[in-house]
Amino acid sequence: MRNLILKCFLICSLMGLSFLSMSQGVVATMKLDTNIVVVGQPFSLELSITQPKDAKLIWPFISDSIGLLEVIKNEGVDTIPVDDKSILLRTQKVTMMAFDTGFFTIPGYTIDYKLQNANAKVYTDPLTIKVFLMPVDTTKSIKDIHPIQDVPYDWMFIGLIALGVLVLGLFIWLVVRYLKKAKKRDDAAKVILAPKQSAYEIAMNSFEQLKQEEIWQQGDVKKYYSELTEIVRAYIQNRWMIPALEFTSDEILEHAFIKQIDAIENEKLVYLLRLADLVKFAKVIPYVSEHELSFINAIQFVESTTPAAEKDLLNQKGGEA
Amino acid sequence: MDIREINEKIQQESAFIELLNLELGKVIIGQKYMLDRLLIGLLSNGHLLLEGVPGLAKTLAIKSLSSAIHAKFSRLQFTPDLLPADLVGTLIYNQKQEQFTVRKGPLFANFVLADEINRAPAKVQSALLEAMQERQVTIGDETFKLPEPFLVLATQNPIEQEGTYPLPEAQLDRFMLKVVIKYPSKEEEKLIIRQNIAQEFPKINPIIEADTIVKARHAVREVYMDEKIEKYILDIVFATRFPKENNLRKLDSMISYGGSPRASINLALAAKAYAFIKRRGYVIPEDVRAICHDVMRHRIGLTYEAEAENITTDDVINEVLNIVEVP
Repeated sequence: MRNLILKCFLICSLMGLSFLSMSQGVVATMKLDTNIVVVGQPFSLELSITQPKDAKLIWPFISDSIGLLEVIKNEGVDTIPVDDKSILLRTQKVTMMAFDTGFFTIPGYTIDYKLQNANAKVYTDPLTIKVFLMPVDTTKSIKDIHPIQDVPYDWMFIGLIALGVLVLGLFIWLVVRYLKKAKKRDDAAKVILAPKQSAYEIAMNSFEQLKQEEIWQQGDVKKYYSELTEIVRAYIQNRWMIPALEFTSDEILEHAFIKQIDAIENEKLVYLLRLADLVKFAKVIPYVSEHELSFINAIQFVESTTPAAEKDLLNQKGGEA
Repeated sequence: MDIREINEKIQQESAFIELLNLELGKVIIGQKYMLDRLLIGLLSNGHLLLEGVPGLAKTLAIKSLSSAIHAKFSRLQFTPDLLPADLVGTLIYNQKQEQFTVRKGPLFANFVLADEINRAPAKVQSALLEAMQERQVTIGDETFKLPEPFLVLATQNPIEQEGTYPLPEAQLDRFMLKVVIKYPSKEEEKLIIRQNIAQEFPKINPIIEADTIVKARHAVREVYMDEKIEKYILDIVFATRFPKENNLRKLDSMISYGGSPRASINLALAAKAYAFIKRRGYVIPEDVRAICHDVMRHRIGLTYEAEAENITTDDVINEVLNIVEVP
């Protein structure tokens, strides 16, 4: 007997749960954003259905018009998963308009669905909307239409534009600065930078080194003259800031700086460069006395074209050392 | 050979240069630059492409040169309907002998002036350039050697480019020099006006034989070129090929291709010829710099970027010469 009572209780509980799940499984609602509109005023109808994920239902079809109500925009069905994705909330929003006055009823929809192999239906309530005409005061005169209204200043928008202009300006400034720097870098390759040591100091050190190397004494006359003229060319380059190392002898001797040199030093330079060209390019081997004379001529050229102050500075440095 | 011997030999062999200059100077006023380049081409067995507006004595110069050298001259006006056979010659059927006989074309001359070479289609240009390269022409089954010396002087007009067939880069490379002729100076033009109004055109006398030129060509090859000069030439040509590696970063985007090995060869040869006409038995850097533009300007390809910025090959060469260290 006790078992029978327990079985009956269990069967009733299960039936009750099943009924509960069927009725709470799919819920359909339909609502309007307003119940009263004037002719031509848009209003929206929202159909919402909450369903378990595994429920299959036939979505009601909303045609272009419902009675005398015109559908002007149908936004389609939007689905949002809720409650750990086990339940789906599906909505469809429709914008409508009425062009006639009176009370209009939007009939309720019947939604057929299938859940846990059982077919069922759920219904929405019908909705009513009142459409009326704007009351016109015929006692008053006819008024003109509203003039064009000025758009109010949107300070946020203006601020964004100003910020954009600023960012663009900053970007252009950075690009121009970068290009200028790149140009300077290129120009720097051309500009002969003044060496840390003075032209005189470099030349005198190089002469001393050349003397110590004793190149012509070892029979390499060509190398001796190449190095001797290179010292003189480098000196001219450092002294007058002209690319003398890339100049031919003729170009050096025709350059404007020559006019600053007195005639005797000029002759020495001409002699040195011409003789060096013959040695370098025409296999000429001068007398030993000419090697020494060329060396002296080169030193004298440097000495005579260096300002006294620069020489004094080097002498002072030498004294301190 | 000892440098003194070379120098003496060059002094002797080049003696005709002054005579030639004097003779040409009788009719050609100014244009020393063009005459020097003509001689360089003649002495180094190369051909010249002359670019300049009409009326700059291009024809007169080559005609006078051929008269002074006692050589055969022919002039070809290139037109769009010209055919290769009009140039090299053709086979003509002789009814009497009942056989084909060879009719040689105007290319069989010592000095050929190919006027406005870019007006003829590619097949004619190719025929001429092939003859220039091979120094022989094949008509039918027979191959004929072209006379020695053989110098082609092609001209181009830089202003009228419509309806022309520009020479492809590969064919331009076959010209040893591309000489851009400029207008004469005011003083020179004054003398030209006087000479023309007075109708005083001195006659050019043949003062040297073609053999002298052939001999001089051998002498030119004997002009001493030091290793330092060779290196200088290579530095210049390589700087046009790899500007970035030669401290010419800004030219990297301007040059599409640099000088070919033919450029190096011709630069060396032309420098020797220049030293020869300066009556020197050795080459100095000045010689290389003097002819560098003429040898290189048609051998460097520029990018669209360079063209958009109006940069010419002469500008590129100037930049290169300013950066390559002189030995």
